[in-house]
This record gives sequence, C-alpha cells and structure tokens, in this order.
Amino acid sequence: MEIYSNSIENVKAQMRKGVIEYCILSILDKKDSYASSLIEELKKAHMIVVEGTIYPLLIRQKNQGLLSYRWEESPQGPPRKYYAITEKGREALREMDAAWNEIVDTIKYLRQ
Amino acid sequence: MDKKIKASIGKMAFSLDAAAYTKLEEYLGELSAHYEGKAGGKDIVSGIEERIAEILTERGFKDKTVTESAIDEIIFTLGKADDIDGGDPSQENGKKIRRRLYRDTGNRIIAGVCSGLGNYFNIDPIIFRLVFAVTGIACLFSDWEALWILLLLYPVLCIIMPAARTSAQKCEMYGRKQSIRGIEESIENGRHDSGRQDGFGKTAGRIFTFLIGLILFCIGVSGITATILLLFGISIWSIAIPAGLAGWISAFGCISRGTAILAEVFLGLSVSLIFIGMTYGGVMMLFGLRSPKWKPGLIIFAMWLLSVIGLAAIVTISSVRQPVFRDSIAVGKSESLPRRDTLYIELAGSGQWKSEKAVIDADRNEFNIMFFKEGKEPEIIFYPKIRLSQSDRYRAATEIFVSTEELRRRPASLADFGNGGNMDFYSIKGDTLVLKPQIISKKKALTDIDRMVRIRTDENVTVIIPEPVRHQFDRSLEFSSFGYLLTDIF
Repeated sequence: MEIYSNSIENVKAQMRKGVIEYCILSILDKKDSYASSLIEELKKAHMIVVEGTIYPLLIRQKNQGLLSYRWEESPQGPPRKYYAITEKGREALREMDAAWNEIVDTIKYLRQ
Repeated sequence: MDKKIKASIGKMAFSLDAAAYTKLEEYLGELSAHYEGKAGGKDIVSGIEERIAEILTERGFKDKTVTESAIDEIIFTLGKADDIDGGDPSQENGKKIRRRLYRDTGNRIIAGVCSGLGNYFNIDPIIFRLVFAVTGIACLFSDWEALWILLLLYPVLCIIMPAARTSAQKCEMYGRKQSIRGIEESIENGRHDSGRQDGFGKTAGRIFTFLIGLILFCIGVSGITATILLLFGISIWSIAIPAGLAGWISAFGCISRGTAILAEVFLGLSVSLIFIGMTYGGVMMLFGLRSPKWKPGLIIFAMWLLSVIGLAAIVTISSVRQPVFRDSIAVGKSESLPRRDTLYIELAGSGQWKSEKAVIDADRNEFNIMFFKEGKEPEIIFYPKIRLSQSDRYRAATEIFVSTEELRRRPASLADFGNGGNMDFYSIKGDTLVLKPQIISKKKALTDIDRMVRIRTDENVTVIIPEPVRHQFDRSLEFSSFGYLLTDIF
C-alpha cells in the first residue's frame, strides 16, 4: 500500500486523516451503529483506505468520553459493540463544526 | 500441508488450512506487538479480530475452510499496522517495539539461550556460544572459581528467560516486523526437536543435552534418596543423628528454639531443593520436554534462593550473638592408679538424664555418650570420651591420661600455657574413676571441646561402666563397631 509514493496523495491522506474522527462523530450523531456500518459509510465516502484505521480512533474517542458502546446481539450471533455518541461527544462535534466552518471560510478567502 | 485447524476468531468458530492459520496468527501477532503497552491496545486488536470474523462470514467461510488467499485479502482490506497508523503524528513510537529477552527455541542448539541473547543485543549468537564453550573447557583445566560461576549462568538464564512461543512474543524478541522463522513449530506443539539447527549442531546438541540430563537425573535422585533416609534418621554413613536437631542447634547457637527449627527447615530445603531441581532438570533434558506453563523450574529455583537467603540470615544473626573463640589450648595430665582387678567408671549424675534421648557409641575400646534434654530449656550433656587400651605393659599400674582443649576468647599467650585447662572433670575414688559431664544450654555456653580420658591397663583387668547402660570393655565382646569388623577380617 504505497500511500506515500505520490506527495499529492500524501497531502490528501493527511487531510482525510484529520477529519475521520469528525466523520465518525457525525455518523454516530445521526444514529448509533456497529463498527461495521461505520466502516461501510466511511468507505463509501472514500475517507478510509484500510478498514483497520478506525479501530485506534474509536478507542481513543471512547477513552476521551466522546462516545460509548453497549453490547448488542449481532446478526451473526455473538454480541458486538454497538457505538453511540455521548453528550460530551455532541459538544465536541459542535466545536468541530465551528472549526470546520472556519477552515472552509479561510480556504474560500485564500482562493479568491 | 493439508492440515485443517479449528480456531476461534472473534468468538466465532472457523476452520482454516495450515497456511491460512499461520498467516493470520502472524498478522494478529504483529498487531498485538505493535499496540503493546498502548492504552486500549487489546481492544483495538480484538475489534479488528471481530471485523475479520464478520468479513469471513460475509464471504461464506462459516461452512468452508478458510484459504490462505482469503487471509491475504483480509489483511489487504484491514491493513497492516503501518497502514493503520501511517503518517499519523498523534501516534507515539509507531515504529519502535521494545525488544524483550526471550529464549529462541526456533533456533536453538540446546535451549535457545544464546540465540535469544543474540536477538536481543543484535549480535551473532555464535559469539555467546563460543563464550560458554570456552568457559566450559577452561573450567576443566583451571582452578578459577569465577569460570564455574560463568558456566552456571547458562542454566540460570535458561530458567529465567522464557521461551518465545506466541507470534506476539516472537515479534517482541526480534523487534518488530522481522520475518518469523520456524513458524511450523508453532503449529506442532510438542515436537521438541523442531527448530534445532541442522547438521552438527543438531546431533551435538541432542547428545549433549541427553548426557547432561542423565547425569543430573542420577545425581538428583540419589541426593533425594539420601536426604529422605537422613530425615528418617537412617544413616548410611555412620553419622549419629541426634534426635531433635533443632534443640541441638538451639543450645549451641544461643538462639531460640523457634529460630533453630526455622534454621533446620531452611537447611533441609536448601539441600533437598538442589537435588529436586537437578532431578527435574534432568528429566526435562532427557526426554526433551518443554516446561509447563506454571514453570516449575523457576519455582524450584526461587524457593531454593529464598531458603539459602533465610539460612544465611539466621546464621549471620546467630553468629553475631555467639561468643567468638579466637584460640584454644590443649592440655593434658596423667595419673597413675595402683592396679586392681576391676576398674569401674562412674558417669556422675547420669541417673538424672536416664530418661532423655541419648546417643551412645560404644565398642570394646571406646565409649562415648551424649544426652539430649529437650523442652523449653534444651540441654546437651556430654561425658568425656573414654578410650581404653589394654596390654601386658601395664601390669603394675593403671595409667590415666586426661586431656581437653580449652577455648579462649583472646588469642592464647605464653602465660596461658602455664595454667592448665579445667581438668576438674575427673576424679578418682577408690577403684572408681568418676567423670563429670559438660552441660551446654542457653545459659551455659561451650568452653571446652574434645575432653578425653585415655586409660591404659593390663589386659587382665576388667573395666566396667555400670550406669546408665551397663557396658563392659572386653576383648571377647562382640564387635559393635563396623570399623572393627573390617580390621579383624583383613
């Protein structure tokens, strides 16, 4: 997986990396999900290249108290973690919205 | 290989072929090693494992055997550790894995100690092997004890260093992401010879291990047998075992009875554990077994270390309290008795200790008696050693020669030689020689050692000790000493 062969690819990857956590919270804000549906959505949006990427991020956000999980019976049988955003997570999401809007405005301004 | 392996992935059962299993184990191992020590590391890996199970189910592998190519695809989809973290500045020490010291059983000659050391320090293991080999040979030709200590380091390292068994451990041993050699070994548990380097190394290693194992086993078993016999008071080397060793130690060492018992226990353990350890090591090496999970070898070693330390502590403490004798003076005195037909020897006061435990060593020429009074105030009572020699040279008179060695706290000076030692332990009353005992207890410490009475009489004189046990020194007496049996036969 040569993500770094092209420097443009590198920059794009860096951009995506910065917002994946924002995306995760956004998805969970709409509804609670299993890790697999998060992966599906992020893949559809081309935000992640390898599925493994979300796991460290999920753990980090859970440790920060931005999201929580409960065990739910999965379609395959064994219980799986079912993630949900927390109140603290919603607050963080609002702050990220503000930050995102700021960046978008800055870029718009610089590109005039 | 068409071996099928059943494994549980993410709490679901799957059947994989050998190559697929190996690859998956390697992948998960690398991830575990990568996230080792990081917060939530275990959760990350278990999350990924569950995702793998989901994907496999989606692709219909619940009923089919998982192939290597399926695993390859999964690894591609989920990404290797590098890809997951790649370029993320918030990940601390992404590349480095703390290297750990393990025994490399996949590359061993004997036990993988040198290979493991080589892996840790990034030095060719042959250097370590050379060091041990040279030390071993040098030990045989040199007197230097330091060499033995160096050689002992090998078995100690063998016990302390665990073997790298799981893939995660192997990654830690090599430092991340090196190719894992000898993976077949992880599937074939119990194949103890796998991983030995081929050729000279393999045969030499096997023979060496077998021989050392055999020697250790034999020494160990004989040691344990001897210790057990000793424990039951059966001596095979004609050592008199005083019953209640604790009382004895307690009286001599000026330490409490409880501490003496503790000392006895530590002593027993220190000795027996060495033999137990040898037997265990011998068996392991003879049959090429791997040590079980609870690591008995390590436990035996730790217990031995603790008992030695305990014993050393007690010895040090008691020797601090013990009066230190710097020197001793041997003195002797002789006396003549008119010759009688019978000479009686009275052991003064022996009646009072008649019911105590005693050790008697008696034969036709010697008599030794020692009493052990147990209880709150233990005492040891010794009478002087009695040696008799009878010949026709002593027709006219009986000669008595008494001697003792007196212990001094200061080094003996010339002036001391003038004053005889304490010779009060004997006296003559009519035709009886009266001997007084030495009593050692917590209140009364040792002052003399080796008290002896040598009696020389004519061969027709009868010498009798009436109490506490009647003994007659008699040439015609049946031998009671093993040593005498030998002299008479030869």
